[in-house]
Amino acid sequence: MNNKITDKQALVIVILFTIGTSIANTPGRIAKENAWISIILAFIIFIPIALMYSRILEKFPGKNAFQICDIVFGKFFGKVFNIIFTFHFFVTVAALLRNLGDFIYGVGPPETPMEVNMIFLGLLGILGLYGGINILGRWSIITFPIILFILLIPFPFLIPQMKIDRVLPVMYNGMSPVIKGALSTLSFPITQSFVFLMVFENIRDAKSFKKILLRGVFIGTLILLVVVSYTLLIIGGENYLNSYLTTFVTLRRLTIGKLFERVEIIILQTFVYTIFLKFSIMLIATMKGIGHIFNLKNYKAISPIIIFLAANIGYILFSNSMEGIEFIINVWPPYALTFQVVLPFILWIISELKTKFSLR
Amino acid sequence: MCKKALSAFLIIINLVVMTGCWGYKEINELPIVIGAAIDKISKDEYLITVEVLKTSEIPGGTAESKTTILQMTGKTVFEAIRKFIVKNGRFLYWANMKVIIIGKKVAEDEEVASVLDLFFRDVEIRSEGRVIIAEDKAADIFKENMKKGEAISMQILDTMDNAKKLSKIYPLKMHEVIDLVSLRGKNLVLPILSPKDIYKETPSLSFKSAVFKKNKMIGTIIDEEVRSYRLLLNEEDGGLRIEDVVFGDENSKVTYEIEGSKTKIRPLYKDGKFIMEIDITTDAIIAEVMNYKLDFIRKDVRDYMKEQLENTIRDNCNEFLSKVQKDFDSDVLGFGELVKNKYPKVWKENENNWDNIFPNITTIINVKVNLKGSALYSKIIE
Repeated sequence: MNNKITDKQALVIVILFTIGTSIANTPGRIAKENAWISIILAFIIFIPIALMYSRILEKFPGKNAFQICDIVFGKFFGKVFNIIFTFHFFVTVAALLRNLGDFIYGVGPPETPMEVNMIFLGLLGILGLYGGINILGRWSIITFPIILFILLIPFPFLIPQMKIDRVLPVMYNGMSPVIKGALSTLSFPITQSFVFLMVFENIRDAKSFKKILLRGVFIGTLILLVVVSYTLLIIGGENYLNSYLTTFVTLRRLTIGKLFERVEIIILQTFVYTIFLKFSIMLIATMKGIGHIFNLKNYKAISPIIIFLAANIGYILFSNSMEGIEFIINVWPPYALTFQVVLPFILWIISELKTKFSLR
Repeated sequence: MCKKALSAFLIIINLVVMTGCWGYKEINELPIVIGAAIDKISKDEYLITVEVLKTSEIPGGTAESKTTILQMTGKTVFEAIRKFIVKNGRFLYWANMKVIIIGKKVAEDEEVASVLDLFFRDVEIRSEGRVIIAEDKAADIFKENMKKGEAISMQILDTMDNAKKLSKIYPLKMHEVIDLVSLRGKNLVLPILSPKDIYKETPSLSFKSAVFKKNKMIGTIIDEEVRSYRLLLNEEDGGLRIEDVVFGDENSKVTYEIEGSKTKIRPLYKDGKFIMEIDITTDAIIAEVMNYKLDFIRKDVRDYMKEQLENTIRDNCNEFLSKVQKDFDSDVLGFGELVKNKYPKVWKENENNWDNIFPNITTIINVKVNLKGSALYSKIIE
């Protein structure tokens, strides 16, 4: 099976991955009306991190991060690191499932139980896993313009309702909420692109990985920035913090004449599109990790078990949506940044030291 | 061949199984609520009155929309709404609610945001409905309609939407109300409606609006004051102004039609004192002149008329401002927000003391009137 993807496909995958679920769970809530500054700040912080990621791949061409861990840390500690990373991806898979369940339960048919939607996404993810990254790449190329169209067209109609007062004064409560917002944006979704170290081993040239990662995340962040700015200008900082689905609430206010309204449901559509991609990528990484740890050749076959496990974990991750918001704001950033920034940093430092010492 | 047949079979099965949702609702089974009124009848009992569109009659061919009025009490708004099942047999469908009327007692007991909470929180209900305060009991507005059976909520909605040509009502949507209540530097003003205005055949109308301080209704403004409120909010798009033009021996009534106004409020902070500079530019048309001897082609007449109009607008605004500052002490124009945006640090210091600062703010009003023309005729029709 040809498992190669072109640079263009990879780029679009990274963009869609970055937009991902953040369309609904818009980033930088805690910064309120300064969320747009948080997003810009988060991208600036991300640049050195992206260089670090690509440096790791560059040192070991053709290997994915699981294999690199084995090489750098040796057999035992390599396994420990792989288990940690795999666990993290597994939890992310669970959180994504829960995310979709919550969203559809919140805005869609209320009589349909949350578990049904979660399981359907899980099944789709298995399809994505079997199809492999190149199928996902082709899917992304087709879907990207649709998502862009859906996402950017309705907002300009809301321009009459925008008020610049809603984002003023800039940084009223000082820097600390902005930095907190930036960290939360960084943890979700920006540095989640760490997963591409596990998935994109098919791009032989690490230089092009650097380019793809930086460019893809940049374009994705830019789209998010536009959407978040629109949202802030329309609903203001207080609502931005307090509503579960900010973009949904924003589009609810769209009425042109009495004809063009109730378009908010298209947010659900883009959400389902992008969460499918994100979920599939995360699932591929998880399954690769499990396959690598247990030396399984046919690791895809156990994916249904993992999905059901993840659905259960997702179901008990938090008991209600109030707790979910608290989880996203307070728990997720430090947790995810440990896995996505601190551990890769250790990996990078040790690999650099190792090559230095072995040269001597 | 067998495989193909099997797949075809599966697809057909899917067609049957996968159409629609689990929780589907048919339109002829939906009692559509188009308006609701909320009253407080005792300390913890609410009376909800709803106007429901009878959809089941529509398939008969007539496009006539008949409505019924239903009433129910409950400890909370939601409890009352659920109990409607008994009266109606079905769940009410709230997504199309156009008008929500709040009784005066609710408003005076600081509960506007509390009773709107459910409607704002729910996914099904869109927060587009206009919020109106009733002059007395909210239910009366619907109750008087019981015999007629016409959709009174729709009429109220249309009135509110077209009110900008009158400039004496300033309707707000539900989400705007909730936003304003939670804002610290701006207070709420909501239109008041009484059943008399709608049903009684008397030709006079009272344009009243309720002034709030946070959640609590503290007073009313009437007629020209509402107009000044809209004008100062930069929301005047129309309306009429009537002046007695006395020039020489001639005394004539002139009606100006306002084409539009622009208002800019600039806060200034000097030596611990706040000054608001308000610039108003109004475009007006001479629409009706009730004395043919007034020759407004002459420049001195025009200048006189212009100045007179400017003075009237300035006086009205000053009157309104002194009323909200001295009588109500309620920052309905959002001076606090303006200060916050321009002087964040000053606002942080004075935020908690704003109630004492607001009545003493000096306002400077500059009015400029552009007389844009005199409709189709330059001369008086003799």
